[in-house]
Amino acid sequence: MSATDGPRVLIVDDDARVLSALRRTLRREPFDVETANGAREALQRLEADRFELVISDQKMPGTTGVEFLKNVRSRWPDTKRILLSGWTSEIPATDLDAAGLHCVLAKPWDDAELRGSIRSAVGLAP
Amino acid sequence: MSASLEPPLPLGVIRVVVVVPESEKDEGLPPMSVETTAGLARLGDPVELLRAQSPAELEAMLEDPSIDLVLLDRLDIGVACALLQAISDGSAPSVVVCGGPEEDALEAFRAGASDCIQYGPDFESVLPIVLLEQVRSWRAARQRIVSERRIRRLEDLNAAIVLGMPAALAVIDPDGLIVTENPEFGRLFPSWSDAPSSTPEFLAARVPEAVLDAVERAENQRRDVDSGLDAAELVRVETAGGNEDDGGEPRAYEVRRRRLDDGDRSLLLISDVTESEWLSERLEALRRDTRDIIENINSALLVVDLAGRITFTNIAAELILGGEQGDLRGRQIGDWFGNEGGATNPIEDCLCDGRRSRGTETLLHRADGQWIPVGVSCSPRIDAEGNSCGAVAIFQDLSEIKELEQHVRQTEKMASVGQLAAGVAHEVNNPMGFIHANLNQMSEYLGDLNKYVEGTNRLRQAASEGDLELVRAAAADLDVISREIDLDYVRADFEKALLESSEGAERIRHIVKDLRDFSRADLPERVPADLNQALDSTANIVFTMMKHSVQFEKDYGELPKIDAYPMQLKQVFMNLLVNAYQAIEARGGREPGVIRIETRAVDDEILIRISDTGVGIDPVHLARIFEPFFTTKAVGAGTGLGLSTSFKIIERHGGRILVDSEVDRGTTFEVWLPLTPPPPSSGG
Repeated sequence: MSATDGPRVLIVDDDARVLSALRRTLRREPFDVETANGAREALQRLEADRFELVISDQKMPGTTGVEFLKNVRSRWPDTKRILLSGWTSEIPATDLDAAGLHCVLAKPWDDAELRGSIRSAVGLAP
Repeated sequence: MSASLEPPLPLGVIRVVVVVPESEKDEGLPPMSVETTAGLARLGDPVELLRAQSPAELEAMLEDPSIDLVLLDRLDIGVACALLQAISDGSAPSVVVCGGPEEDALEAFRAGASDCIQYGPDFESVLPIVLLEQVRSWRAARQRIVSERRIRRLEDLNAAIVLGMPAALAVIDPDGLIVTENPEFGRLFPSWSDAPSSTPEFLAARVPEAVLDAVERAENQRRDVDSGLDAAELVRVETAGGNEDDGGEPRAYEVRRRRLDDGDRSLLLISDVTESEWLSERLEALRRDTRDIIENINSALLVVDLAGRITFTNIAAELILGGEQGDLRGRQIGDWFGNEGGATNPIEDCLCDGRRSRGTETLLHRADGQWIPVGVSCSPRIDAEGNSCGAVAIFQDLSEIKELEQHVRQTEKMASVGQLAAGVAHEVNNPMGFIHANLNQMSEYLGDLNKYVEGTNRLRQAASEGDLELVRAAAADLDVISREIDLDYVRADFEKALLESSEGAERIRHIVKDLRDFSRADLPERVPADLNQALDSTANIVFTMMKHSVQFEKDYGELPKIDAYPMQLKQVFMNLLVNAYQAIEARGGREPGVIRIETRAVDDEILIRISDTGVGIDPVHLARIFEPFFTTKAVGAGTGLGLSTSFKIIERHGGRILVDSEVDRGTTFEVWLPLTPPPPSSGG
């Protein structure tokens, strides 16, 4: 997909099928979607470019989404953070607070809600 | 001392006890002087000589009334007198032979000698005359003395009986006057009158009215029956007859009345039976209590004799064994226990060799024809002499408990699935998420493609009309649509989305199938099970859920199938694997932990080893990990039942479960199962 010169959004998930479906869903949105298959790759991308928003899965090899987003918050405080997880009830509330999330979205997600959340996170009209 | 003038009648054997001086005792018979011996020889009747060695012996001999005479021969007069005084009145006559002065003879008479003969020229002729005279008169008197003595003894005995009897005795005359009474009568019914005790009192003045009535009724009953036996009447008297000891408590008396031979007077025999009444009431109450308890306990109780025949059943036992049949006495207990599935009969075992059982589980053929699980406790029945006389058994219907156990087991299994909930949710929700998103997209794609198809339809329409201008316009329109909808992308991505979605659906199907397999209940019987397969399918579920943080290493050896409850074993594997996974999670490291699974056949056992590189178990906790409800996990993360349940399951298979752990290094569990499991009767 070519860049749209819109806000840059980085989506992190170890499941390629999820990334593929998210790309499809956001295909016509006015922002630039990039993906990473894990926390390590995502950090490399963040170090290289500025992103308006990071959306991360919770369950990933080596670390959790919340840990990763806490890390993102401390290094790139201006980058907004959304957690996208299939099972959020076991995540301690203090961790969620510490990660300073824009919102938490559940899998399976609602397309409209997903688009709306991202727009509001990056400051676009809904 | 005069000789008889009549011709003497023969006396038969004359029995004479002789006492001689101490110094001659050992010289043998005859111990008497030559003169005495000669005198005795002239008696004309045969003489039986007896010798008394001591005063005590003499006294004992004289108890025998057939002794005719005592002859004190040449004793020192003092010794002789002492002996004479010791001889009681009414004994055989005693004759003293002495050679001393006249005074000695006088002294002997005073001491009670029947006669005294002194040595002299005519001694030998006087002696027989004196002796015969004494014997004759003694024999005449003896009969009377013996009879009197016998009567006196009987009287003494009667008096002792009457006085000592623990019953009140009284004789009443036809007017109801008490002729005589024993002390017990006086004690039970004291006299209230100040008159001297010799004044006769009316029975009515002494005994309570109820007793008086009973006396009359007893008389009537005797007449009715006319059996000649005593009639007895039991009466209760509400207030006592005045005895202060009884504190006015109600008393019970047994009254007997017998008409005496003279026909007018009656003998009354009244016993205070309050105590025995009370005892028998207590006994009856005890019996009633015991019966109530036995009949009302929830357990079935039965007693069998040595031949295995039922001699007693309580209601609970009757219901299980007989249903509506009622009395089961005499039936063989073996009828209810078969040999189905190797089920044992603990009652017959007990009869056979006295083996006791406590809660042995077996199967029983219930009255309605169903085999039900029961727990039997049986012990030999020992009689008062200490001999075995059968067996006493208590048993309980375990059907409900078994169902409950099954339920608990299932719940526990679901709980271990619950621990996987996060993993399950993630693994299901990921594909659900992208399938859902893809469906929305594909629906959009379909709309886009429909637009394109409409464009082609317009183009075809124009072509069929042969209007070139229209065809050109339609083709240009189609190009616009194609660009708008990004046709190449849509065509390619539609197919891609479809493939990815069906792959996601396949993932979900797989997870659900694994879970369904895992949650299935076992059959009640053991089945030949492939443990590698059981372990692997369980490991796959866990791996599906936990692949992010765990790396699996599998090393399966070749295993023979063993008879087992495979679902239960899968649960054990699940518990161990979830624990291993949680131990690795708790470590929180970056690189994935390792769970290593190994199986081996070792001799006649199968070894399943599951080791992890997790946090390990604190030695303080190690001893307690198999205890029910022991957990170090956070609330919600574990029930504390996983390992205790696992332990029980492995025990049920006749195996054992071992653990070895080092903090920060990891934990290894070993499950050892025998190739041939023990019979299923124990535990179930």
